[in-house]
Amino acid sequence: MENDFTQTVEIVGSNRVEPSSELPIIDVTATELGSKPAPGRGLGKWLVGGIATVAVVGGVIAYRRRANASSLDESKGADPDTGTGTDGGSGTHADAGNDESPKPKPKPKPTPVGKGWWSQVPSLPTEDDVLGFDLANNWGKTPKNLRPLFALMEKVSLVRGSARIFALIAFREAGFKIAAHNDSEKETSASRRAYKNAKDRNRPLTYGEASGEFGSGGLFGALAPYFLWSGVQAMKGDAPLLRAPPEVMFIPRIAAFGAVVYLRRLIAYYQIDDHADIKAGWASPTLLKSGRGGSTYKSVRTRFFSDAAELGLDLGDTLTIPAHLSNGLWTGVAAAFTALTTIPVEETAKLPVGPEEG
Amino acid sequence: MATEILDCYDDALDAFTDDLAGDFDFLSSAERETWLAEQWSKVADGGGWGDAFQRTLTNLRQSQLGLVSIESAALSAFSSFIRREREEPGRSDRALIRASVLAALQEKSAAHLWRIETDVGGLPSGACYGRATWQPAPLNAKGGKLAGQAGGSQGEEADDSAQVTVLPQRTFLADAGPSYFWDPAPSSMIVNLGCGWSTPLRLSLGTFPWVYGHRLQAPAPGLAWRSNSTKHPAPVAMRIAAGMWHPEGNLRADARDVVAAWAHWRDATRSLVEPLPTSKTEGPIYRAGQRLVAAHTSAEVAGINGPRGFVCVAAYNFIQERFAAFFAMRRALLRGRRHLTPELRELLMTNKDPCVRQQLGVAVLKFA
Repeated sequence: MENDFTQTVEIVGSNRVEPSSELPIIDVTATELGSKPAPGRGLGKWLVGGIATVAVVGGVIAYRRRANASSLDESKGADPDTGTGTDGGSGTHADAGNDESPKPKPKPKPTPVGKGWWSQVPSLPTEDDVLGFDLANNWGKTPKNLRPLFALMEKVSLVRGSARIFALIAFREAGFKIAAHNDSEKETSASRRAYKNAKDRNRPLTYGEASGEFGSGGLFGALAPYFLWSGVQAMKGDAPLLRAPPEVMFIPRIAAFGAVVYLRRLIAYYQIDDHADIKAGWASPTLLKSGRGGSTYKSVRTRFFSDAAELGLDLGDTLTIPAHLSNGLWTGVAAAFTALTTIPVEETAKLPVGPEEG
Repeated sequence: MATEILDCYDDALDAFTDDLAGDFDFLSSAERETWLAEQWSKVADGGGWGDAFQRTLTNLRQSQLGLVSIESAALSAFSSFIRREREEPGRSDRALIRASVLAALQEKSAAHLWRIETDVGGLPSGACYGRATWQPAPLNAKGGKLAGQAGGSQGEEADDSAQVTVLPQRTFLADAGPSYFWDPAPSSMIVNLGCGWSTPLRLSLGTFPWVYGHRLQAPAPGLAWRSNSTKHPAPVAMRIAAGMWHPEGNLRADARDVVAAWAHWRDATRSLVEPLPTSKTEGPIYRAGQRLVAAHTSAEVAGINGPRGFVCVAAYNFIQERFAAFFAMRRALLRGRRHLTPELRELLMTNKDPCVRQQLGVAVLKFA
């Protein structure tokens, strides 16, 4: 277990988005909510999560980072119907209002990500995908269009009560912005270190170096290299994201896959005393071990309860969130991947593994 | 957003707190952490390590956890500052005993750390340093002096040629007589004469580094507490002081002590402050709300003078702000009490302060 990369998985608590990019091709402008993805691979335009429009141009996909969004309160993004802030951009709830303005820095070279199975992942699930799931009670200000995604995650993970916990994590990590991205110097340093330290004991990533330069992001604030290694313990070389670029974390169903796998590992391998411990583990599993009881551990827990109050979730409502989350029996990582993304895992293996890197 | 929560302690406390520490919503992580960063900035600026703290703050804001770890990061920055400025191997004994005394005080009276008055007899080494097992040496036939061993370490061989008389010394300064922090009542406490203690140990840790009620001139005495390679009394004291404006330490404290300390401070300084003008055109020091401003010179040099001693403007403002920060955090915690972590709720429920009990709706039983 000590050699298991998830021992050191770090999922960010404070994303920050830089306001520029050279080759904006994935446009995270809020448009065409609810549209279905275009059939077929590599076709002109499709939607990610209802708010991100992805264009494939010349067989190269990049993304555009947008100015940092703000908290629900500030952005009113907060709009429980759309899940989008007033700026429609990616960003984070974390530290909203207490960050300094990002300093201009050299624009990084966009990652050329090629096209692949991820272009066929449907947009956000809808109520029809989670029939019978309570999407009305104890969600607080969770955007209505994201509730089915969190519900689907609970159904797939078989961790009863996890839907609201996933919502709370997305609120903290990304302010419900699906394209939240923290590529600050500190964060890219962390992802670079993560890749460097873990690459020799894990399966190779096609976009390994790129993931090291990526930082973290997505709805659940995943650190890029660890995100791409999601499921590798169970599936070895068949883990579905080994050949994918880090930008796929901006696709909500794929981000959800990483989060589901991670939650189950936290519950299975760490001491989780209550719901706030899940958030502590999300920030850094070290907090559940040597950091337990320290000031950072306590502060993360305080944040968790504050966030719940701010979002309007009642953590004591055992009808929707049992007092302790536990793993139900499931059919495995591969099945979870397919259930969330609709993509058969075999599809993901059709791309070559290797140092493509552009 | 201020509420009547603090009225339970004193009607003037709400306005005092608002002016000096502002108000924030404990349940808003952004507001809470911004407020904490402001408090640390004030403390760091007041202690001369503001630049180091600002660098820490910048790094924190870029880090994956953001300001969530501000307490540990700020303490680490302060510790580095002190070690760089104040680490001195030659003062090893004193650092060791100081740190041991502070640890003992924390263990002994966790709820009453703001202002401590205690018999030194119950403290490690009697709060003395220099010779851990000091005993009066036999009278020297020639001089009749007490002769100790040079260096004074236990178990060392005597070296007659280097013999120097080294008596144990007090680990902290004696804060005797009426001061801005105390009006000591006659006491039957047992004093330890081993190193000259003739008073109880009195420390105002809530206002660290201004810990003595008689010494409120710059630089603050707590900043002179030296470290050795393993013991760092100043950072230990800073951790205690910082706890007062962080949730856990704040809820652990019995606010009645803090209110009493604040009332004493207010009464002791009132006659010095009230005559001061409120406009900078009228004098070298003027009042701006609850703070003082030195118009023509630095806040470390300018001050007010009274029968209890001199108080520089920097110390006055710092102490005012620390009191206010305690009450601001207490108010925010009580207002957000329904959404605290289980650990904080536990501390709240076991706090014996009647004003806390009143807020919780717990009956305060009074027996005739």
